[in-house]
Amino acid sequence: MTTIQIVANGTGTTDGGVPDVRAKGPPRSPQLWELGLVARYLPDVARYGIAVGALAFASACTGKIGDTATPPHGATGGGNTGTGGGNTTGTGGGGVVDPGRVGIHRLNNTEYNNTVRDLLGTALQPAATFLAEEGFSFDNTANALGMTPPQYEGYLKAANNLMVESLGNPAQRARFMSCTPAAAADPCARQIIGTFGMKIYRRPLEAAEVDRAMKVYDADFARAKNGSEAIGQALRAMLSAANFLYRIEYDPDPTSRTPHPLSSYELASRLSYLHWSSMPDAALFDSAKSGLLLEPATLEATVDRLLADIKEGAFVESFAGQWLDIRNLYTHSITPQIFPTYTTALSDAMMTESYMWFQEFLSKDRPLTDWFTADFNYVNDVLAQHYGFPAAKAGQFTRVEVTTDQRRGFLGLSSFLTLTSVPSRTSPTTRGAWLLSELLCSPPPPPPPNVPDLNASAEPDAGSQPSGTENVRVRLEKHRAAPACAACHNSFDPIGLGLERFDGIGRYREAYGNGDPIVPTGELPDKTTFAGALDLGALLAKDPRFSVCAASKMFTYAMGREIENYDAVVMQNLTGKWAARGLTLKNLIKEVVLSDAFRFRRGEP
Amino acid sequence: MNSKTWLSRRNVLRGLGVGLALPWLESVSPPPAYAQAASPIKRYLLMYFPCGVARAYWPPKGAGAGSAWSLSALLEPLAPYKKYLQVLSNVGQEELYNAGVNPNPSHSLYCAPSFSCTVPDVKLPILGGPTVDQIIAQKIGAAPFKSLQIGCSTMNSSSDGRHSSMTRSISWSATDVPLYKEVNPQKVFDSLVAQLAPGGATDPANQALAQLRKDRDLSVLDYVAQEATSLSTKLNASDSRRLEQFLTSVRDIEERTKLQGTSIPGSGSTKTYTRPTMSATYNERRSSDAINPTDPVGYNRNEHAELMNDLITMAFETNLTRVISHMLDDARSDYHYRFLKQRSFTANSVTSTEIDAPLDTLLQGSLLGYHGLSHDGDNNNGFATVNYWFVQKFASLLDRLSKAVEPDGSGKSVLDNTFILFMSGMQGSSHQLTKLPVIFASGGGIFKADYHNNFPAQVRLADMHLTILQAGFGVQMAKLGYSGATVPDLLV
Repeated sequence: MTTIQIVANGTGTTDGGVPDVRAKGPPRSPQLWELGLVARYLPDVARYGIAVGALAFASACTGKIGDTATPPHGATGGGNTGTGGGNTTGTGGGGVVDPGRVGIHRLNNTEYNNTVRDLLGTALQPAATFLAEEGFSFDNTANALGMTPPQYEGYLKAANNLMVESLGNPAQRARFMSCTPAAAADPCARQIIGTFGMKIYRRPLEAAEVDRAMKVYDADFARAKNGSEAIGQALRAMLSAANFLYRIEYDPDPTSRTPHPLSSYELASRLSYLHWSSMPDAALFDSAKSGLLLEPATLEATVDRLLADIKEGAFVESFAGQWLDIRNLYTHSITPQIFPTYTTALSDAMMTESYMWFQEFLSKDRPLTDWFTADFNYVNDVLAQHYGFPAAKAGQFTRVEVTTDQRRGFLGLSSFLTLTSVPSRTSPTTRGAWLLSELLCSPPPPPPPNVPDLNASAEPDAGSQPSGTENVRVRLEKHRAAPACAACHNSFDPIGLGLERFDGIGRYREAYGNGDPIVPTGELPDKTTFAGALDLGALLAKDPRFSVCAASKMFTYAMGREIENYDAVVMQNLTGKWAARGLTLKNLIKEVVLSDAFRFRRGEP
Repeated sequence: MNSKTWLSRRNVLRGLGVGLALPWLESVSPPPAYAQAASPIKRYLLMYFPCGVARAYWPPKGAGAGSAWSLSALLEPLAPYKKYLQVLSNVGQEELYNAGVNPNPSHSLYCAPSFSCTVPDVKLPILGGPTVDQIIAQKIGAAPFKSLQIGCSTMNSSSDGRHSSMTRSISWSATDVPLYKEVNPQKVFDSLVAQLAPGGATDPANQALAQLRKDRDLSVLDYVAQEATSLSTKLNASDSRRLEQFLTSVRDIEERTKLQGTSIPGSGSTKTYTRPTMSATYNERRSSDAINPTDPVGYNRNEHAELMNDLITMAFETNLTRVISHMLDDARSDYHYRFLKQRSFTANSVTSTEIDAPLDTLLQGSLLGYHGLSHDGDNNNGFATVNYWFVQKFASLLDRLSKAVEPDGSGKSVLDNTFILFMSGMQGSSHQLTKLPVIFASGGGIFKADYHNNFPAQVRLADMHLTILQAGFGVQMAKLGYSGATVPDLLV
């Protein structure tokens, strides 16, 4: 069995003869690749050199797509049982692998909106007016979620507005007003604070905490002589508190690295924020109260239950929306003169299709080995026309299986094809590098200084450009004639060129705008050849890096932190068990949830 | 599975993006002057624009003082305010490039670090230090708002693969605390007015209610601070640091709340401020009726920038704050400035002419957005047209501040006591780090004014900032990031 390899530092010279990007020299030409679309994946490599999977960063430019000679341990399904049950190599005591550490975790804007919706039954979405969330990687990464005075001011105002609304709306009021407080130090007020406060803080309150909130109640009752308003102020204070705005997990000794299990309430929150981007529901709280949640069997059943309640698609929108960059379509720019059919309705349909496509993998237990070959789409009338499919019902999305063999699997999804294009045309470089970075977790290294800019001169996909101008393939081939460029571009350009029969908004075509026929064949650096997108999909389907990459993305999202060097063993364990169990998304989530990293934590000096 | 789920939710979000426009007049007076800061200059404004300038049309003619220099075609809107200006040629920050950090992508590296003069972490939002505006705020920020951060970007602009605070925030109070800017003029206005007249309570009948609100806010804040303090003993060092960010924010709001509605002894004038009718929200999705990112209905970038100039003036003349940073756009914005008419610039001419055609008619495809334009050469008219607009907004602010009267009765203008740094962290089309476009505007007396400082040898940006900190604001700091020494040539 091969082992997982985590590369400590990925910057520097690659083995492909690419100059060290850190070398001093004149400031480099801008737009090295294309409009920065590719460059966004570089920092991952630069900092962590994440290569979860044996193919280290440095070998990315060998582009061994489909090369199974060096599989990244057995995540390819069947056969390999990984290290199941072998949790013995970690640093912790009691056979627990080092679970790592997530810091205090502020709710991001989505989580805040969902949480107050579930807590108070409000339709207000206060975070819509908060300062923009500044995300990186996934937007739930704990240590990227800071706090500044203007942000806090937003929370403070929101808590006030929420309580004003809740006191005035009978249905919302009934959620917390289980009795009628009418006096100073009213036991009823104490009861409300204790009971509803548990939901606000997502755990039972300590007596001192109830006392502190009662002081707010009493002070306000003294001021305004109104029990309801005073309760409103006490709950408002709790909604403004760190214990609500942050997910805080406690260590018995915050400075000790010895792993310890999470409390059942902390685990409940990890589960609910993973699945729903929101607080636990009543059943989760019950399960936390009884302690049953700590049992692995309960955990698995809980995952099934939480996944079955898709809650407005929170998980798919958040996880797939960010992993697959589907959200980027919101701001993706298109040149209308070149793509006049690209309307808001079309881009909405592209996003919806991608979410539904992903949801099918999730809820129908389709293995990820189908990812590149699955022959189904979800279309409404707009998207059906875009794809050249038979007409579909207006507005409604229908699952279709079209057997023309032009469009198949993830590589045929127009969201992916569009957002990896530039506004006026396809960018095979971006498509190839995106696939390597995001689906195989093997991002190519940054380009060297002073490479010429392709963008300005390559011809658009359609329109009135004179015939005889060079198409993208020709220009890229010239670019790759330079040895310094070839080493890397050979690894991703052919992949992108294999998808050239999809234009910059994902329409099928067989010729460029200037009349040149499109040749979708290609050869990878290891001399594997492919005839077109279908062939390419089949090659990618066999690439063992994909499932390992998917696991690392899911782990990052579920934990709310980046993968660190010490996660190697956890990742190895969980990907091994996942492979043994069958490569479905549900099994992946279960293995992440059952992993030591998810169920345990530790302090740090 | 329900396909409508996603659609309906998106509609909800879209609907919320539309701000309410309520006509609202407030008549308020400036609060008292707070303890006079021991600083030669009272106020500091950092006005940032991205991607540098079309250099062919930027450098002033001649060098030295007064009539020895004249404005260039791009600087021409500043003509009425020439006596306040010092234009710096040959300032650079190559240290950022030479520090060994992968210079790609450049925009996130040449944004906030231009004001901290540190080399940031390549991935996390770690800047390496606070920015100069925050260092100055520490010194002179005694006011209800220690500082304000505002900007004009309404796009979810590209962040070049870094944490987006690296391209969208030029103010950082500490190495890991980006101060996100507010882009909505209504929200800025509301915060300022709430400070002057909580609850809109200039009407005496509302005073009791305003007092109740203030008492309640303080009660809540007290609870929150106590609770967080009790938490901190249960956390380790790194979490305590993060909780400290929270507590600092809570205390900041608490202090400001205590100052709400403070009466105004010794202040003369009463001025009427009108609430902006235009709202602008960040992260706005492209509009629903067109595919390239056109502006949302009712949004106008020029009006937005003018409103921000109004708010800067209001915040300064009421002494509600002494330090502001303002991003005219994000570091890698591809905003389409199609509301502008094209200007035609020609080599060696000191003026440009407006062509009666919108900016986008001459431009093609991906080059239409500002960032794309910036890469189309240092003499391209599209790039220069947007640069010219940035300079116009700078000029219109100078106009306001030169007419705003200091509330202290000295008869001086607000501009007389304000230092403004107008600059970009990049040179121009090639995004180099030398010959940055940098202009000071100040009342004179400390920094040279009506002056083109054409340095024969490159001046380090860090040294320039250090000089401003020391000479302009009395900050006792020997070194700023990679600075070496001060630049006496900047001073009178």
